[in-house]
Amino acid sequence: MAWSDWWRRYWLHGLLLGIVVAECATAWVLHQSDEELRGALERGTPFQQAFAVHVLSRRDDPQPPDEEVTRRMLASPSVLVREMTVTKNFRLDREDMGQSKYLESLEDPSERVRCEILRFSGKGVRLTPEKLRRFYATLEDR
Amino acid sequence: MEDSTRVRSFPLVYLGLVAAGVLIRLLFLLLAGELEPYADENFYLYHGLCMERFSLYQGGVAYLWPPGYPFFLAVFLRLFQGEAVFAAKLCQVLLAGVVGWTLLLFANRLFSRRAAFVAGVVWAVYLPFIGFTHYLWPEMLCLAVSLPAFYLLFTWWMDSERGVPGNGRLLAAGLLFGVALLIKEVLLYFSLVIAVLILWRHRRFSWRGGLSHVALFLLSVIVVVLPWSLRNYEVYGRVAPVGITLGANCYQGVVRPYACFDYPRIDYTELWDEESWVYRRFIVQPPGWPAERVHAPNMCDESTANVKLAMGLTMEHPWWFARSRIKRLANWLAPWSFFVRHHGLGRYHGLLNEAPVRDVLVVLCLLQTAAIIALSVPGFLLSLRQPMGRALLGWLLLYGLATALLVGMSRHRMVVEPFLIVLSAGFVTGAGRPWRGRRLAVGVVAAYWIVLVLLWSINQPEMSTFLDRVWHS
Repeated sequence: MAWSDWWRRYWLHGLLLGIVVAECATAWVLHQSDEELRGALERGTPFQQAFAVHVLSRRDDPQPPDEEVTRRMLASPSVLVREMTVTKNFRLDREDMGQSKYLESLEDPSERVRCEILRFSGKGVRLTPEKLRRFYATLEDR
Repeated sequence: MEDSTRVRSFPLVYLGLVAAGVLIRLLFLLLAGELEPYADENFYLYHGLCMERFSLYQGGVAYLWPPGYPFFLAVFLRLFQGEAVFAAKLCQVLLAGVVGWTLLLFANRLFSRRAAFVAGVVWAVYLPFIGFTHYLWPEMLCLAVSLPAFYLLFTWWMDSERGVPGNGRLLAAGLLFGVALLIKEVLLYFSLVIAVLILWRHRRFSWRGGLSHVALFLLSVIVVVLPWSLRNYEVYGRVAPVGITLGANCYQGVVRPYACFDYPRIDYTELWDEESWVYRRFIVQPPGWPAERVHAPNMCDESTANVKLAMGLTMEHPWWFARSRIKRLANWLAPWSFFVRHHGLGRYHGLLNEAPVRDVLVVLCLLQTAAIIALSVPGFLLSLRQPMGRALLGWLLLYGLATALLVGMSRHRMVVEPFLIVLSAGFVTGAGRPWRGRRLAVGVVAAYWIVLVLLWSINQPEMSTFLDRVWHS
């Protein structure tokens, strides 16, 4: 078969295969080992810390959430990281390592509302349209 | 050229039907008002909220749903914030138009314009579909993507048979199919069935051409799904192509004591006494049955362990497994839907929940579902003549049936329900006497109707209990 015939028949296969290879290469480049993630827990930005907990608590040998890590994340200057730490599915609150106390200590009413909605919505408590509006209203308040 | 001509000159009346269907759905969305999310709707919304707020998909505790629907909700939460739920439902109403239009095209290609018209009318007023446009379940979004994928695949088959070149439609079908998998993973293994069907279709021409097309289809599916699979590998350290739900479904369908999510909040001990025939044959588990879920720190391992547990129990008690699947089949084929369930649970308020309107809607919904379940099989056996149509729909129906045998509920019928409407429309508009000279097929249809009545009678106690709640809510 002539080269032009091959090209006409299989260029689309080649393109798709190239995309598949590129996707795998990207995943390989972005891959972080357990050691790298633990390093991010120690030295990363608040978000990198949160991401590290997110992945480490789900991997092959899940790292038990460390109370010190939880405490540091709850003290993070990033509101997002603090909110993330109290959510039900973040795998840090299996044995409630300070999240309840953190919620009690919150003086900012808008952050308290958001954290409570995020913490309880994933546990069978209904996330009603009204609650959703309250959640976003607290963002507008800030 | 006949098929292409039929599609090109599709009259405006069909567009009108689709528009009417969309308007009816919009009316129901407005009448339903702000429905409080129920069961999984809460979790989808919660995952969407977390995705929008943290840019991370946290996944559940015992399962990982595909990310498509939470992402869909996250986009609306980002854009519309507190009004996102209504905006997302409005989008579902519009996307339902895609479902309606594709369904009409299918009926036109497989049968006739008359069948397309009937299918369009049925779709426009089909209450189970109308319900899913104002619920927060991913079914409508999945249908809006998967049906066009099937249609593109089907037309590619038809046209390539006539020698029309071009792989664009096959590529588009694969890409859309990949997107559908990211919304609901139930069709994951059907991509392999499609691959086999493509090879089967090429058996008369060339195997090399068949393999080339199979590769193109699978590559186009993989291109869409792979980034998410790689993300799962990064997060869990395991291979999970789309989601991690099989273990949870094995637990629900085999390990735990019987429960059907179509009839929630029912006390089954009051429904059947221990001496009743249905209870002894189809419900009760053998003595000493382990009803506990296996727990493991890694969700993939937990899922695998629960699959193994269910498989082990099945191998140990194959006869019980076979008998218990009859009840699952009865649930799947019951003339039931979430629209009726929502009424039984008292989810609707206002006009939709006022006695005459509610009663008419519920009865209509039951009749609609019963009719398409009863008429689709004769439509397939007696009216559908197109060979590729028979192959695609036949395998899809068998696949839907096979997956339903695990958990078995009306929601799991949604993937094939548009095709049930098309087949029913084909049957009722069938020209001449399609049964003439086809004794075997007629016999199978008669047997199907008898089995259907028996299966419905098995489900009668649950349905009656729930309907009592509808009438007295």
